[in-house]
Amino acid sequence: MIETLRSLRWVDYYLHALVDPRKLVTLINRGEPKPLPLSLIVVAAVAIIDILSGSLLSPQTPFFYHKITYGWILFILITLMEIVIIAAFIDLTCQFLGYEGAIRTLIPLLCFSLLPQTLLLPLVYIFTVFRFAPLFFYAFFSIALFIWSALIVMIGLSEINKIPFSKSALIVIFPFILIGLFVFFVLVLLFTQLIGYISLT
Amino acid sequence: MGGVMDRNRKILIAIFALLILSSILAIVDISLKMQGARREAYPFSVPQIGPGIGIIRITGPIMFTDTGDPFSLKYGSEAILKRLNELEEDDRIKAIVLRINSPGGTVAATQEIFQKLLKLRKKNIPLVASMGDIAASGGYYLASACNYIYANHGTITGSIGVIAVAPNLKGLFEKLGIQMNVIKSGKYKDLLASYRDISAEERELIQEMIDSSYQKFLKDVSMGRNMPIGDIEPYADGRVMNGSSALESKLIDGIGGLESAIAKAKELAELPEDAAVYDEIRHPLEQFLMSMENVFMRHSELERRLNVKHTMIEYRYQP
Repeated sequence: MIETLRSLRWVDYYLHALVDPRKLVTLINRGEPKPLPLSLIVVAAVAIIDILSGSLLSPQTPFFYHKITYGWILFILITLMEIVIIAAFIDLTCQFLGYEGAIRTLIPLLCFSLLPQTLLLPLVYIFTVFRFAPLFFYAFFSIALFIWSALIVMIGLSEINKIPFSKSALIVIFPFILIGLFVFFVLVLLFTQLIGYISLT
Repeated sequence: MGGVMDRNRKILIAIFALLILSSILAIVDISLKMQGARREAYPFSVPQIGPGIGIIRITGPIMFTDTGDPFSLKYGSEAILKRLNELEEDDRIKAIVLRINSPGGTVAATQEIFQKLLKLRKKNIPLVASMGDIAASGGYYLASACNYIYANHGTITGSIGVIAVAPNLKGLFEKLGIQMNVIKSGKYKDLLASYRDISAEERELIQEMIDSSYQKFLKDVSMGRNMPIGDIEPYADGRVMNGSSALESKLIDGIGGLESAIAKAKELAELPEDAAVYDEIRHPLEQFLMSMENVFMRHSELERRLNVKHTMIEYRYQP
């Protein structure tokens, strides 16, 4: 354990997640050191960064202490659930198109793909300190970093299945469209229910 | 090649270190901002440990509200009673400050809170009232249960009396050609109906109820203020008065704001000057719900004035 830490080989996962997702997939498949625990660190870090970035921009209340002490556990669980669902959808689509299932590689890949989102805090912090349209840049960087994460997954997937980037891009986008449509209709239903409830009371 | 890789690894670790540093900075920054906001809102609310003063805010009309109403938390008398119970059960609370900003409310709700306050007073928990913009009628009724009452010079208070208002829409009904079919078990069953004039007998009946509630009001204020009823009666004709006049009439004990009330409460409870002040804490979700009140629960001015749905006998100041 200590030897692995000293060797800095674990850093390669994070390094390749940012600069070369194809090599990241090769490392995940090699499995030395074990990728899953290292990928879960990214999920935890993103949960904390999300809380901090959101709290920096919103009115500060004592509720922040609840969020930062144990609220982030809920964030991690939600993010992990999202990852498992998206990985399942991607894997399902791959198998539907005749490729081999690779859920064991996909889940760490999706976790590592969140790594760029940890940069949200320092990026937003600069604009918060200078009070220069922090909300705009929060939205802007959130979208930009999300696209970066999606690109990592797309490149990684094309490496897993040895398929062109365009095809892997379509496979990655498909579950998002599906989930997006599902969430949209659920929200519409919830909103109408809420309005109905409020107007009756 | 290996050297370049090692360098890249170290750069990434440095980036991670910066991320951790920025996270720590953010936590400290948020905490400091929060402390600053707190100091601004409650300059006397630190430290928050040990024995201290509990604050309860009575804002808006005092009335029982539908417990299914998500906004009943804000002004319902149940919310006030719940908060009083919390303060009573909390061993740290040695005195209570009532911050009143209310024109009064329904007779039953006001009396129930008054009884609760008396119970606290009997348990030797000093109560101090601090009046805001208005603490009239039922608002004053509650204040009278306290050991000490503070008001600002400009506070509207007094209005000791009872009122029942019912609209008479008979003329409007006739003009519109609307007739009501009423089948009732007794002659008073549609008392104060808006579609007809009130009879002399009905007026007498309501007047009796109002007089009875008024006598109870006087008796309770007399008991709470430890004054003979005869000393209160001259000012108990429904008149409103400002803080200075109320002080002259001995309806209050001093001129001052919330800070004075807290200082007095500490004095009565024999607490040190830096004792804790436990103010009401609102959960952000609750605040969000409250902020939605005006969007979803907006009543028209006409509806409020006519109070068509329920005619209530109230301890309320109605300008």
